[in-house]
Amino acid sequence: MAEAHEMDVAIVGGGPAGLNAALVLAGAGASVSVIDEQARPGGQILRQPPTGFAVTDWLTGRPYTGLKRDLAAFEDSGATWRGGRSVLSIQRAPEGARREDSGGAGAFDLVTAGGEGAATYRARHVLVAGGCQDLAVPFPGWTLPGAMTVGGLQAFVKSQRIVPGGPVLLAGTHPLMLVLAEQLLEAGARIAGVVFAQGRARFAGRLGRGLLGAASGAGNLLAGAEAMARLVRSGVDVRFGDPLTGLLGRDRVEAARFASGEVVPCGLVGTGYGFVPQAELVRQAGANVRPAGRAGGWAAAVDSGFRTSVPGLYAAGETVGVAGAEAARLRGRIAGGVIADALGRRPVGDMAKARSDLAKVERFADLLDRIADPRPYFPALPAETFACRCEDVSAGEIENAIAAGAGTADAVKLRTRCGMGVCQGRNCEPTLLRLLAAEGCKDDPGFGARFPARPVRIGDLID
Amino acid sequence: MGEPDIAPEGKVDALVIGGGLIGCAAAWHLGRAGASVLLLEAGDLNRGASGQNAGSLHFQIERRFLENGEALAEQAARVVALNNLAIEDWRGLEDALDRDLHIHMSGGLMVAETAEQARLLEAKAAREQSYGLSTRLVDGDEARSIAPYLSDAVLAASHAPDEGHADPRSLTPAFAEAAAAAGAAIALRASVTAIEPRAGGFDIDYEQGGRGHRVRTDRMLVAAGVWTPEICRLANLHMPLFPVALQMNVSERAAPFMPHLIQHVGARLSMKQAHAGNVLVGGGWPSRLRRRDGSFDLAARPDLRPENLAPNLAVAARLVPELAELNLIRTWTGKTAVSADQLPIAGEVPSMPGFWVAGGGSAFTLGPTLARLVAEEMGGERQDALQVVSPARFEHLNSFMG
Amino acid sequence: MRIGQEEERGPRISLVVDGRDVACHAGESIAAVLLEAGVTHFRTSRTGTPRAPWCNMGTCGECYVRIDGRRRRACLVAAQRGMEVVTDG
Ligand SMILES: Cc1cc2nc3c(=O)[nH]c(=O)nc-3n(C[C@H](O)[C@H](O)[C@H](O)COP(=O)(O)OP(=O)(O)OC[C@H]3O[C@@H](n4cnc5c(N)ncnc54)[C@H](O)[C@@H]3O)c2cc1C
Ligand SMILES: Cc1cc2nc3c(=O)[nH]c(=O)nc-3n(C[C@H](O)[C@H](O)[C@H](O)COP(=O)(O)OP(=O)(O)OC[C@H]3O[C@@H](n4cnc5c(N)ncnc54)[C@H](O)[C@@H]3O)c2cc1C
Ligand code: FES
Repeated sequence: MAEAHEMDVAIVGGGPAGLNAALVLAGAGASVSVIDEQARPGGQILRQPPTGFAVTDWLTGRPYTGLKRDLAAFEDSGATWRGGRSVLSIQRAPEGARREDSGGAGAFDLVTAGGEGAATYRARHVLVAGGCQDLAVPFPGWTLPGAMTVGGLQAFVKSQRIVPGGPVLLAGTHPLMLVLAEQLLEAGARIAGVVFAQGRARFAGRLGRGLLGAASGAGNLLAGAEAMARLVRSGVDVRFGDPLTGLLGRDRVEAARFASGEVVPCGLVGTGYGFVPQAELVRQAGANVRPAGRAGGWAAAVDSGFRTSVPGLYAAGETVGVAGAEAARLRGRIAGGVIADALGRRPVGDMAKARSDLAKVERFADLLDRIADPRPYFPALPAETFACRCEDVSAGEIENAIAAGAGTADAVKLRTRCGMGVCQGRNCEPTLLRLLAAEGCKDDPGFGARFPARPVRIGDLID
Repeated sequence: MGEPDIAPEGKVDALVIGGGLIGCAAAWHLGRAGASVLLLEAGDLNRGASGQNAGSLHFQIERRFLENGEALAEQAARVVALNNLAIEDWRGLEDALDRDLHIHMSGGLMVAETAEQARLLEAKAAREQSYGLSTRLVDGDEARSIAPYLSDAVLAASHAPDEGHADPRSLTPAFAEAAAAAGAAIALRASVTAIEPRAGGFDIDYEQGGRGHRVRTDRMLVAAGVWTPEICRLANLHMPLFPVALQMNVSERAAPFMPHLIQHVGARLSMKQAHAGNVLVGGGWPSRLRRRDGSFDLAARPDLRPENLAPNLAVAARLVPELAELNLIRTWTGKTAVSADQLPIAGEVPSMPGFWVAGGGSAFTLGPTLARLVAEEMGGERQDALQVVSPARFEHLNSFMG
Repeated sequence: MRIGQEEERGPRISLVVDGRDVACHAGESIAAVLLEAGVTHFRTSRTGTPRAPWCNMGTCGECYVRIDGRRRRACLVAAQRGMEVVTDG
């Protein structure tokens, strides 16, 4: 491994949270690097097209204006962008390497890997702003080619500028499906339907009430309502109250089946049941996590200054809880300010206003979270359906292991290989915890997180 | 397998503490021999070293015995007799337990990269042969003809035809199910809290489901891995087993290409391709035990030592270049017990008749055999093979324990 | 289906995918290139079922292919002239 590159602050993740933290810190004169496995900054909501692309009218809607401004400001800030690198672990640097002046906090070593090999960075403070990922929800047929997460499919549309198949069906509980449907429509894709599992009343009623209660989120909400109207006007079949039960097809998706019995022919499917934080780096570093909320998963446990339980390690954005891009921006800004303080530097910007804005945005986020709550609509999981898609472990095998006495996630893993594959348990863990809870094994701490946070070529760790 | 079917103040012929490989295997042998058996496991079965190890079946004298001088090497050589028994036991396990344990015994190579290491191999092989283990020295080319995936870095190797690997995740549950079928009661999440010796036996207190229980037994076996010294203390005994923390690396799955166990005589390395296709790379590289309140925290998972990743993987990829192209998907840490002289400890404690211990060392390889021999002793048949590992060699420590 | 005007995309290049030439644009992700070339079988699962990109953000591992000899996540690798891609490797 190459020699350590040193800096005041390393930020993992260049989404709205990481970029805003970087802006505050660079503005305060700190040396900052943002490390991200995506080639370009922006995070999931602003997944940029490849460098050579010149897309006109890219993401023009109102929700994107502020974010695009952040992106432009970031390009001009003094912060260093280290794209195309996955962070594999964050560990305390050896005793001797810690600096006296780090305010009691430790220095950290970040092991990373990218196309050109591994590199270790050393930073006095680390902020994890790793964002979130789609909650993995298994159902019959979910491993067929052509079945994707709604976020993943959206990234193809907005970043790669492709629609990889069709007709496109979107199903699940999350309103992001509306945003994606509009983007698909604009792209000229054939849409087979947008089918929400929850009833219209649950969806629209909450939306309406939320409009009155959460003024600052109204922009986004209105965007959602408008999107729905436009979709319907364009002849898109937007339906409510019909949960997806499975996908059909031999070697790829050919149709979707719903609880109503209806079978909808389609060639590409995006399912959206909400998002779970990416907190494994924080967990691996030994910091506390907490159950993240309705969709499941773990969020970094932080105080009001976004400090984790490990001194010097901070977390912001959706790593501390899924609340949307605006909350991520504000959290990143506040965390940046707190870290600047710890470095003895003066942060720029109005932190008090950021905190009061954040409170409002988080109230709205909670409303959205309630609307999208997937729990009543998880498709039934027949015994032969894979719960762990890396290792092909079926729900039945897991249930048998539990019946045979495996009462924890780790015990089931040991017996079945569930969680031992390349995704390292990220995708099957929520399902497994659900199956355990159904058998009375509640409050399980899950798998824990292990090195490396992403698979890494062995040769890269050696050179 | 929840609450055991034992009345309060009940009595069993034999009580086993620890639901790892050794405890479960011993419970099976004891049950088969007709004894009434209760096994107490503080957590889930296989949650200790038995579920975390690398699954190597290594029968050659281990490198760790060769790096600390003649005396230790000679002592270690005597364990080779046990290794010969273990080879037979492993060959018969799948039939005896009537299931696939992914046991692959297609041979192992301990390699040398320098002339000096090759000489070490020669001395080792001579010792082994004098104890009846058939290892054969081969040069680099012959090693490569046996194992074509080995690189030119290999100068010589010793080949042991019975070495290989098995699946640690399958073995303990298989023993446990066989034990249950043989009538043994297995109590999970049942933690021993007190041991009271009395005439002709012991009263054992344990806690399960928030309640205290007591059971009386004639004979007991402590097979609690790194926790064994703790349990021995409950009976006012010293047991010189020490926790050590190790780390293991595992690659993504690859098509089968490495049917052997590969070890190194001059560097810490053990490597094999598990049945699912993942390559496991370890060989005694330490992780770090957590400490709490001035002691080692045995409840916590040890911390990875990232600085040990590169050197471990580098030796592996030097010998097997293909490995470099595979992705590492996980590194895990685990803890296991090592005795004061590195040999296992298995047998009855001379100063406390009726009290057996078993554990320490490479007790995946030797576990099934140690468990069988100890169970046979508990049934009343002395086992000469256990003499070399008997706790009697540490009895001086207990001569002060009134 | 590629969206928008040809000229909005990067320079035209070609790759070799499972032995055949595939035209694409520099910088497109390998996952996008393969899907647009009609590849739906990126890897074969343990029990023999075909798999293709699912998360498209690097977390699931369903898109592993061999790119210039190395096993990499196709959704994270940008296409460069002359790359050699082998699926199901
Ligand atoms: C696929 C996807 C699509 C989404 N699309 C939308 C949308 O259109 N509209 C919307 O309102 N919300 C969307 N969301 C939710 C969105 O993530 C948040 O609203 C917002 O982007 C969160 O900002 P963030 O800064 O917390 O994290 P993100 O924007 O997710 O940024 C986190 C960054 O961290 C990087 N990262 C994570 N782990 C590592 C690691 N180990 N090593 C290196 N880099 C790492 C990621 O590559 C990512 O760029 C989407 C979420 C996902 C998962
Ligand atoms: C990373 C690693 C790699 C290894 N590789 C190899 C290898 O390749 N080959 C090899 O031969 N050996 C290997 N070993 C060593 C081997 O795993 C152990 O020697 C063996 O598993 C020990 O088994 P055991 O049954 O004695 O102990 P364990 O498996 O540790 O079982 C002890 C059990 O006792 C229970 N217990 C503890 N306290 C109490 C209590 N108060 N009441 C009731 N129950 C209690 C525990 O919960 C545990 O389940 C390795 C070890 C590690 C950690
Ligand atoms: S599609 Fe999930 S890692 Fe590439």
